[in-house]
Amino acid sequence: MTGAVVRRSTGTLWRSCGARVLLLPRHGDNVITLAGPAAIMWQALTVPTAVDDVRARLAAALDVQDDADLGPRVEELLRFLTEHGAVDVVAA
Amino acid sequence: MRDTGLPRPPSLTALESIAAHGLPGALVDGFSGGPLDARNWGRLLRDCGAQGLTGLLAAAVHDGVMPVTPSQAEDVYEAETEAAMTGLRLERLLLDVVGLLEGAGIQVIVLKGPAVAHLDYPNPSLRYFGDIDLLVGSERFDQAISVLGAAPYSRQLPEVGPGFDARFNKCATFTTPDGLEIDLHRTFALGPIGIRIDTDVLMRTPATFTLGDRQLSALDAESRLLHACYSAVTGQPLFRLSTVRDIAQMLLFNDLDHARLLALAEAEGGQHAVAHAVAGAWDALRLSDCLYLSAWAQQYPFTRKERWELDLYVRDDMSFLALSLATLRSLPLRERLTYLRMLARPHAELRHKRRSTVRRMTSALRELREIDERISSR
Repeated sequence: MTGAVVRRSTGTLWRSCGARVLLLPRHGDNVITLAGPAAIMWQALTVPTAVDDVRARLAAALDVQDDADLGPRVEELLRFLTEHGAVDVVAA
Repeated sequence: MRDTGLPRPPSLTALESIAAHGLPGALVDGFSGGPLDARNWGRLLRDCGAQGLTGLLAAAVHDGVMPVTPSQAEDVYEAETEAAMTGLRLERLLLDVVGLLEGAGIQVIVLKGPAVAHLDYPNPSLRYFGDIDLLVGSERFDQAISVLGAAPYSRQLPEVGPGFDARFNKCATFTTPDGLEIDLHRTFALGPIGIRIDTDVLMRTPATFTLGDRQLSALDAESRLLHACYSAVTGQPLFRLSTVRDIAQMLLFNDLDHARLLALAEAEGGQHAVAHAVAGAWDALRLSDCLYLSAWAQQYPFTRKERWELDLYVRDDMSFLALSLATLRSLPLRERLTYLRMLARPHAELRHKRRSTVRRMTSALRELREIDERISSR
């Protein structure tokens, strides 16, 4: 997904519960719970954002190095959310 | 919830504190005694669910205001997750139902839970709900019932008689195959208070909110407060704490046109309901802030007829027939006979199996006479 621009799917319903975010994609049957870094990432996806920027913002929020480890984990989560219809890729 | 001088269970004081969490001027302090013991905690958790306060309970814990043990924190986590998941599923259903009705050209207004959560609270997670409530104008009510009936939703009770829904009914309740509930309203309450409400007027100036990828219509701010007041004094249970909190939330945080609110209430003969509800909310949440409307409510001069109308809703076992008979006086003369005929011979499924119409009517009249006696004895 490197280089892609992503954002929350507008049809996804969600609730912020303390430090967690619960999502119900428009056409999914299961509620997805995001916690910790994943919940922070969801907040960053309000507007179309480049995957690289998502990673950088997450690193800043967590106060960790934006290193080779973080990238694949962010991409894996974004891929999961995209597959479940919670996130849209708006530019490849 | 007036102070009786008797010791109050800690769970009850905590419940009131939760209902008032985040409100300016709330005097109740139910959190200063440390975490509740297991018995009171269990009761509190149950009551929060029943009173629609799970979101505020979680907020009080997240904000560090309410002391809890680690195991109680776990309970809150689970209760909040459950409430949030139900809320999301209900919102999905709401989008589906509004889509169906609007697709048929029917104007729909979202009432109560979802509308209030998104329009009146800073975070919808503070206000969970257990069903969805929609308002449709009287002229399209029958059509709306047909649309939902054609979808995979089943109506819980049949129409009392042909024509009853569109003219006299409060709402028709539908259930989805997975047990979620949809209340399709024509008005806000059974009985004389409800029959006088002209919802078409209230639907003319909708507010909007976004849910998922749709914009939905709700009542405007004054009409939402009006509806919350009607719910507080006519709903079961009376003065449900989530509704009481809604009233306080709207009055303390929304920029309301009080004159317009009172004009709307006066036009519907509902000023007594507003006064009773606002005074009750201020009392239940022990709010010290004095607003124009709270001061007005405290001094409202209830007439005997108004007290009688409000008393109709005090008994939770008041029969549908008694409430319906109480409505008669508020109907135009030409409609009273039609109304009585429908009540006397309702749909077969609604007929009482062992009691004749005369016995049911006699019993309903006795219920109304008891209210008369109660008012007279005051």
